[in-house]
Amino acid sequence: MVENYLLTVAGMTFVTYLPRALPLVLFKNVQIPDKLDKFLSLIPFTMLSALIFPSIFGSTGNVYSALGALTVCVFASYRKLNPTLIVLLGISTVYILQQF
Amino acid sequence: MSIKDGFKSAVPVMMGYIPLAIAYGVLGKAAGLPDALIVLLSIMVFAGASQFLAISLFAGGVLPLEIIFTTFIINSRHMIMSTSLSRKLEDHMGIFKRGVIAFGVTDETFSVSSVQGKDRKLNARYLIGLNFSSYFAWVAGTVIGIFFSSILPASLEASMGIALYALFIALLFPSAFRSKHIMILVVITGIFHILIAFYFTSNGKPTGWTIVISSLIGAFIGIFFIEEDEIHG
Repeated sequence: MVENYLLTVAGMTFVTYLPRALPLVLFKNVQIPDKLDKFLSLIPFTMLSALIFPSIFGSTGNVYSALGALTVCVFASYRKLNPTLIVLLGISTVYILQQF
Repeated sequence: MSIKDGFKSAVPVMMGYIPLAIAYGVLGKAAGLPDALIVLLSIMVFAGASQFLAISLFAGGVLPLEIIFTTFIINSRHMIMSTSLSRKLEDHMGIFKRGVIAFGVTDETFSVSSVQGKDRKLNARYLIGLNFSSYFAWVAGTVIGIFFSSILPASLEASMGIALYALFIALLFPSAFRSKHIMILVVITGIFHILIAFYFTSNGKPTGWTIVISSLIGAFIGIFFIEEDEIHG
């Protein structure tokens, strides 16, 4: 088991590091056209959206508690609460809703 | 900008990572993984979503190559983030420093550095401060999670699965509430990804590829109706 998982972790480390490092190391002093620049600036928004939806609905084992937490966290973002508080609010909301 | 500025920017990320890493440690223990494996993944891989998934893969006895391949698919999204980040680095920054910074590129550190770098170049000290404070919070949280797993009630353990998504919401929605067009783009991309995941995967669940494709197509659509000043507003 131990040798086996060491090799697996080594493989996971390699395939995770490579995509992180290649663009940073290779794209040095490269001028990027305006349209591409805009496209890349939009990636954080669309990536986060795709990370949240639909995975959030399956994250608690109960779609209603997930929906409740989604609502609370989005409202908390609207009120500009800090990220830590939003995470704690999310966990508490699920915890409370799971009691019913 | 100094390492200290990087640390200051990292504080919200760290505060998000600690509960999340505790959740990861707790879930890893609950799945019966060895402590050393749980911590080693945090030290070597440092990519939350793939680590959460790896817990279930290791526990399910999935083949090593399959675990590695799945990890690659999920984490290939960092390539887009690193490409975006590469525009924000000081031009003269050396390859070695870039290689070190790259290790700490995550959804969250990337989001923070995008905000900081919107109208200036970022130096190595700042990024190393940001990325590695976040890294230490992640590793420390993992260790805490392993130690605390025995005293946490099961009902609280079940509630921690939301932590990752709550953090993503906290990073995304403040910008979306600032600009109507960004909000529209967020909604379009979310719906688009729900449909792609439903129709194009065998179990109707999203994978690394569906996330990458949806965010690329979403960003492409965004080019046509979002103004430059809305992105940086």
